[in-house]
Amino acid sequence: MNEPNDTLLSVERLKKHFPIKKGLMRRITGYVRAVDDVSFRIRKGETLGLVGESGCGKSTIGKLVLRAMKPTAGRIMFHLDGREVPVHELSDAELRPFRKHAQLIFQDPYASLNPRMTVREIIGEPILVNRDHDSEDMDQRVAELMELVGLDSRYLKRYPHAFSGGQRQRIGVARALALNPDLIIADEPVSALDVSIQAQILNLLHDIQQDLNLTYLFISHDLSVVEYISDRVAVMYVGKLVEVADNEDIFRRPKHPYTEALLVAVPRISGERKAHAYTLSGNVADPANPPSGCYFHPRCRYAKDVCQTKSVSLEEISPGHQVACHLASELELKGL
Amino acid sequence: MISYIIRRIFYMIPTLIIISMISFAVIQLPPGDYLTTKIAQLQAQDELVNIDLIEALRAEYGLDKPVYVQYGKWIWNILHGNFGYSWEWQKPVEEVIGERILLTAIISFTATFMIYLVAIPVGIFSATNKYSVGDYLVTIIAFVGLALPNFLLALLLLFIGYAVFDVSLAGLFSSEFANAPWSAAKVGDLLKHLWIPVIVVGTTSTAGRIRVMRGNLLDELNKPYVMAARAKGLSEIKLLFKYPVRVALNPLISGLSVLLPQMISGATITAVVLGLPTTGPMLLGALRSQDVYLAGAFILLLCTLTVISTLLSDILLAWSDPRIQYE
Amino acid sequence: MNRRFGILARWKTKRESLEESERYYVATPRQLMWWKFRKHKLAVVSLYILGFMYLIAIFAEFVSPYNPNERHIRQLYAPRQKIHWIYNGRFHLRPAVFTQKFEIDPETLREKYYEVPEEAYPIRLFARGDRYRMWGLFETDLHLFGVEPGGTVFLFGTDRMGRDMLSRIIAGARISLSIGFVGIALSFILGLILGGISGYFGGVADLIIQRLIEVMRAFPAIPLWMGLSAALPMTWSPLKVYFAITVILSLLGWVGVARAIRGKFLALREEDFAVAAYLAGASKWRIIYKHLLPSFMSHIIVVLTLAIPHMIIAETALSYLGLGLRPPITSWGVLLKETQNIQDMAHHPWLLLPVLFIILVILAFNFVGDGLRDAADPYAT
Repeated sequence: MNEPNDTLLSVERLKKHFPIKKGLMRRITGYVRAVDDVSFRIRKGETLGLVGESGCGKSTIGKLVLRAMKPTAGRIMFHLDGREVPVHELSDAELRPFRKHAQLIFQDPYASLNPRMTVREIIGEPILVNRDHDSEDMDQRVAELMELVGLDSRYLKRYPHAFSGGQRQRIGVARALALNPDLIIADEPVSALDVSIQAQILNLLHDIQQDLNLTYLFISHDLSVVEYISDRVAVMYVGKLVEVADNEDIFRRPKHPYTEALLVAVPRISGERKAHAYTLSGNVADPANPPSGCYFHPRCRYAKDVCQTKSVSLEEISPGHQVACHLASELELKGL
Repeated sequence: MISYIIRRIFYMIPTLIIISMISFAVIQLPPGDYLTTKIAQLQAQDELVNIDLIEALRAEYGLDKPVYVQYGKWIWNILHGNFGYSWEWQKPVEEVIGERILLTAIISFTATFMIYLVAIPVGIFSATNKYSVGDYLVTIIAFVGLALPNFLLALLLLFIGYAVFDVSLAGLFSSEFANAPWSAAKVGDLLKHLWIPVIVVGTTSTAGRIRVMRGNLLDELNKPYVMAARAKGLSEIKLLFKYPVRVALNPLISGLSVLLPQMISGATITAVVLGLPTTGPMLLGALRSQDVYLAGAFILLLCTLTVISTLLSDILLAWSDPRIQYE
Repeated sequence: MNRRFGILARWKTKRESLEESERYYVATPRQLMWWKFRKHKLAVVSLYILGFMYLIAIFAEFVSPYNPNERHIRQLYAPRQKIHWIYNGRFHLRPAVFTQKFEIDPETLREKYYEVPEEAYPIRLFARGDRYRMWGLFETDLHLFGVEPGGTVFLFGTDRMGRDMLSRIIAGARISLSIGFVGIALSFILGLILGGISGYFGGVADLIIQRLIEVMRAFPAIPLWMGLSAALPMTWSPLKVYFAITVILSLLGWVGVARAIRGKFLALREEDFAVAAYLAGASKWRIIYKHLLPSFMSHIIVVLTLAIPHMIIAETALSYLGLGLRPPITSWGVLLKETQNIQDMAHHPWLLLPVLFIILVILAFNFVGDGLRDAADPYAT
C-alpha cells in the first residue's frame, strides 16, 4: 500500500455488530450495527474530531481502536516508526505492550478516578504496571505530569475527593500522558464539565498537543468544541461516516445535509437570525433496523426517490473532502 | 410475555431435578434405614414382626439396591402420584401429608398477604411523615421486629399468653375440632387460631418491608418529577399515588420471590414451637425416625412450592413493571 | 484587649480550618468511613455493646461465677438473687446477696423460695471458686466475682438442675457468638470465590454458578437445615458437631454473599476507573485486588455484618429444635431448649433470660450494619 508515511492510525472497513437474541431458544434474530463499515485515517500530530448524535456509534469506534472490545470485522492499523501494528488482531498478551501507544481520556471525571487511590497512585498506575520507571523515579515522573497538566505537585497524597471536576479531568489527562502515548482518544472529555471549565481543559489539551506532538481522536457531540480543537472532522450517523473533511470545509462548506442540520443547531452569539434556520425532525434511526437506501433519508429535507432505494458510500468529491450523499454535487448547503 | 413464561417454566425443570436429588441425598445421609432400626426395635420387644409385609415393602422400594436405583424408583413413583409409604404412620405418604401441606401453604400465603397489607400503608405513612413521632415509633418497632426471630417471638407470645392471660395460644384448632373432619365450623375455628402463627411468621418480614417501602418512597419523592408535578398544583394524594408509590412498590414485588421461601421456612419452625398440625413438627419427627419417604416428600414438596411461588412473583413483576424486558 | 483576642481567635480558626480541610483531602477511605460511621450514634453504641459481649465471651470462664455445668442440688429452679446494699442492719458500699431457702407450697406442690436476710454474703471481686482451665492453657480458680464459701450468687437464678443461669448464658455466648463469626467466614470464602469467578470471568462459569445459586435460593432454608442436621450421627463429639453445624450454616449462607459479590463485581467491572486500569495495561488480578476488591469490600462487610445475626438465629433455632448443638455444649439455643415446657417457663421466667441476650446481640448487629451501610460509600453526597 502506498499510504502517506505520516499516517499514525488507519481504520479500514471497521464493523462492530451486537447480536439481538429473541424468543424461546434465544435465537439471534438480528444485529445492532453500532459501527458499520467505517474507514478513516489520522495523521501524526493532527486532531480528528468525530461528531454525531448520541448513540451513533462514535464511542464504540474509540473503544474498538483501543481494543477495549473486539471488532466484528475490519482492520485497525497502527503505524509506529516504520512498523505496522495490526491492532484488530492482537491477542491479549500482545495488547499489553501496545497499550502504552494509545490512551483514553474519559468523559466522567468522577467515575474515571478510583476514589480509593491517591493522585500519586492514579497517575502512577500506568507507569507501575508497565514498569516504566522504578519507584523513586516514579514520584518524580508523577510530579512532572502534574505540573504539566497544571496541578500543584504538592497535592500528590490527596485523594480525588479533594478536587473539583476540572481538576479531576486534569488528573485524567495526566494519567493518559503517563506512558508518553502517540495517540490519545478523548471521549467527550469536556461534556461533563461546566462551560467555563471546558475552555480551560480544551486549552490544556491543545497546549500539550503542541508540546508533546500528540495525535488526538476527539469524540464529541458538541460541534463548537470540535470546531475549536479539530484539524479534520468526521461526521457519523447510525454507524456510518457521512462526511469527512478539513475543519474549514466541514464548518464553512458542508456537503452533507446531516452536517448542515447539525451546524444549524450550533448556538452563535451573533445577533443575526439564521435565514435558513430549521431543526432536525424525527428520531435517530434504529441501528438494529435501519431505513432502506441512505439511512438519513427519512429526516432529510432534500431527500429524493433515489435516496430511499440506493445505498450510499463515502466518496471523495474534492481533495480531502469525502461525502456519502447521492446529491452531494447538486446541493448548495450553508455552513456557519 | 407468553414466551417469557414458557421459558421460565422450562428453566424450572432442571432446578426441580437438582432439588429432588438434593432432597433424596439429604434424607439418605444417615446410616441405616428405617426398617433396620424398626425391626431391631420390634424384635427387642419380642413383638411379632410382619416380615412378609416388610420384605414386600423393601422390595418395592428397592432398599437393598444401590442409591441411584432407589432414587430412580422414588422419582418414578412420584411422577405417578405415589409418594411412597410412611413407615411411622403405616399409611401412604400422600394420605399423611396432604392436609399438612395445605395448612402450611395457608399460613405462608396468609402471612405474605398480611405483610403487604400492613407494610405498604405503614411504609407510605412513615415516608410521608418523615421524622414525625409516628415515623420514629414505626422505625423503632420495625427495628425490634427485624431483630426478633420468628420462633423467639412465638416463644414470647406463648409465655405472655400463659403467664399473663392464662390462655394457651398453641395449636391451630380447638380440641373439639382437632381430629374432626372438615366442616364450615372447623374452618371458622381455624380462622380464629390462624392469627397467632400469621403474626409470628410475618413480623420480621413486615418490619423489613416497612423499611424498604419507606426508603424507596423517600428516594422517589426526592426526584425532580415529583417537584414538577407539585409545582403544577397536583393534589398531594394524587401526586403520591400516581407514580412514586407505584415505582416504590416494584422492589417489594420483586422481593416476593425471596419472601415466599422465607415464609415457608418460617412456618416450619414456628409450627414446632406453637405445636401446629402443619409440616414442621411432622418433618422434624420424620427426620428423627428416618421415615425417609415422608421426610423426602415434605422437603420436595416444600421446595417445589418455593420454586413455583418464585416463578409467580417473577411473572407478577414482569407484568407490573413495564421496564422489565422479558424478551 | 478583647478585640485583639478576637482577631487572633479568628485567624487561628482560619488556620485550623485549613488544616482541617487538608486532613480531609488526604484522608484515606477508611478514615472517611470511620468519620461517617461515628455520626450514627446508635451504631456506635451498638458497636460498644458487641465489643463488651465478645469480651465477656472470650473471658467466659473468668467472668462467670460458676462452672456452667456445676449442679447445686439444693437450689433447683432458684429465682434470681437480688443485690442488697443494706444488710446486717446498715448500708454497705459492698453489695451482698442473701441466702435463699425454699419450702414446698402445699397447694401447688412447688418449691417456694424466700430470702434469709440474716445470711448475707457480700459479693467480692476476684473471688476463688470452681476450678477451670483458662483457654485450656492453665488451671485456676479465680473468678471476676463471687461470694465466700457457704453462700451462693445466682444473679440470673438457676435451671432445673440447679445450674447457674448467668454462668450458662456467658458460656453460651462463647458458642453462639463465635458460630456466627466462623460460619460467616466460611460463607464469605465460598461466596467470594464463587461470586468472584462468576462475576469476573462470566461465560460458562457464570452460567453454572448462577444455576447453582438459583437452586440454593429455591430451597426453603430451614427444612434443608433440619435434614442436614438430623443426619449428623449422635455419636459425634461436641466439637465435631459444632463444626458440622457451622459448615451446614455456611453452606447455605454463601448464596447471599455470592450474589452480592457477583452483582457488585459486574457493576464495578464496567466502572470507568476499572476500564482505565485495563487500558493502562494492568493485569486482571491487579484490577481485581487493587480496584474492585477495595471498592466493594465495604459493601461486602455490610452484607457480612447483617448476615452474622442470621447465623446466630439459625444456630439458636436448630439447637432449640434439638437438631443443632447438644449438651454438654452450652449455647443460647441449647439453653432455650430448656424452655420447651410452657408451664416450666411460666413459673420460672428467668429461664427466658437468654432470649434477651439474643435479641440484644441481633439488634446491635443490625444497628452496626446499618451504620456501616451509611459509611460504606463515603464518597456519596
